[in-house]
Amino acid sequence: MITHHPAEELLAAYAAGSLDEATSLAMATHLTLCPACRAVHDDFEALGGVLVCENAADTLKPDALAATLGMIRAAGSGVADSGVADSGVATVMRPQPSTVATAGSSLLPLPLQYYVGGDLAAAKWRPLGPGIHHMPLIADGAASARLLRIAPGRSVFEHSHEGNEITIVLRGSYSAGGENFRRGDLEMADGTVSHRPVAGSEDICVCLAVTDAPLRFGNFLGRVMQPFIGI
Amino acid sequence: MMRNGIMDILARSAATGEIDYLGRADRGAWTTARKAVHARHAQTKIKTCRSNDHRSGASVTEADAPVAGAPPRSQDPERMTTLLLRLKENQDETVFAELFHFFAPRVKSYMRKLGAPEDQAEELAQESMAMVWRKIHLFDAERAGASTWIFSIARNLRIDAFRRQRRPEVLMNDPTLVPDGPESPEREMDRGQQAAAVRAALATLPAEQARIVHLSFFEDKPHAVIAEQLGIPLGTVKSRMRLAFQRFRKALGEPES
Repeated sequence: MITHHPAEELLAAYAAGSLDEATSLAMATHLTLCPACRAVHDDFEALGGVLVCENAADTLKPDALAATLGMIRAAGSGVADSGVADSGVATVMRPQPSTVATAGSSLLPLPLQYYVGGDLAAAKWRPLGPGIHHMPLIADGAASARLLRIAPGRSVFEHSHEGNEITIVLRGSYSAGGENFRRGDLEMADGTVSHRPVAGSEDICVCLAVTDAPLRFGNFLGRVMQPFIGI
Repeated sequence: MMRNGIMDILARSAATGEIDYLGRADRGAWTTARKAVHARHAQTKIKTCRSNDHRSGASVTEADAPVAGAPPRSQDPERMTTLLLRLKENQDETVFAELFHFFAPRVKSYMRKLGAPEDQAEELAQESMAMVWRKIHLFDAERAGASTWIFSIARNLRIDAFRRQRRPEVLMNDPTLVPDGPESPEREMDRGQQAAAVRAALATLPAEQARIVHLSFFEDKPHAVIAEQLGIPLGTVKSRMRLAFQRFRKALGEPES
């Protein structure tokens, strides 16, 4: 049962298409695991549809329809899709079939597997600190996304944020600020939060972490390591 | 250049409510009420859209566009969904033409408002409609109405064209997808009715909040950039947006009056 959800304005921004790729990945990951938020997001997409329809119509070029039909005919029926993400049933985001785990054993939602290159077993981990590994997935300047793996009972350095950090639990659990986060739960932390998440003792904890500004580590080790680990 | 957009409205307190940008007159564009306020409304539109026109070089302002009066038959969302289902069954150019005449000019307007110059907006509108043809086998009327589906195609093309980025999406064939529960009656709603319900919910919002909702879809700025440019805390930007969207959701959950 998911108890921590993204705020409405974040779901709305995802529906509107104004989020960066890393934050969109966090939304797609949470929405895969959370039917309640999917319903909210669907409402916002419907809102987008209504708003576009209520738009006053622009004038098209006189030959617009003919040009579009020409484009369709030129593409032909047998030509593969362009590299543009589909609506809803994207083909470009689908990982290679060989890397997709069979139903029942999959851990990572497919939008995430696209970046990891497969399910959790395909992750290429790099050490980040005692008991902590990570795998950078997206780093485009605006926001970055990474997988984090924390050993049972270990904690991440105490840190705070200049911008936002979104964390989604994929395996195991962690607690922070007196709250417990499990699979599918999404935690949002902003500049006002300084926390020190601790992984549950029952299992390793795997999370997707998305940050839109560099983290600030509160302890000496974190500050010393920060330039080297590129967070 | 400070535009008369979401920046302004978020900078003000939620109570000022001066411009009825997406007020009842606009939303009820197909009613007689539309005509009664047309003159005042057109003035407002020219005022709020002038900078857009300047930027895009477009010759048509919203006020000039032919939206007054009775709706063409094709504005019926259920008819649009029926047309898409017919196109899915049989790729017919006549059916496609009717869809094109309704959606392409609106998708072009969407692209232009989000900053595409005239030529690019035209191109993206045509590409979106070509994508509708190409992806028609994926259209699922159980999941989305026509306007929702075409909006999502246009939005994704825009992200690809403007930012060279992808928009990671939920895949319905994902083995990790947690299925919808039996509850959530909203989702049982006919998708044609959903568009009507969304329209009705919008109509209940105070003008200022309706405008925040509207501009969230037509102004592509991260919340942090908005906060920085306005010099107000990010949290304030977010909470004002949150209130507007919560109110919209609440209105959507309530029975139509």
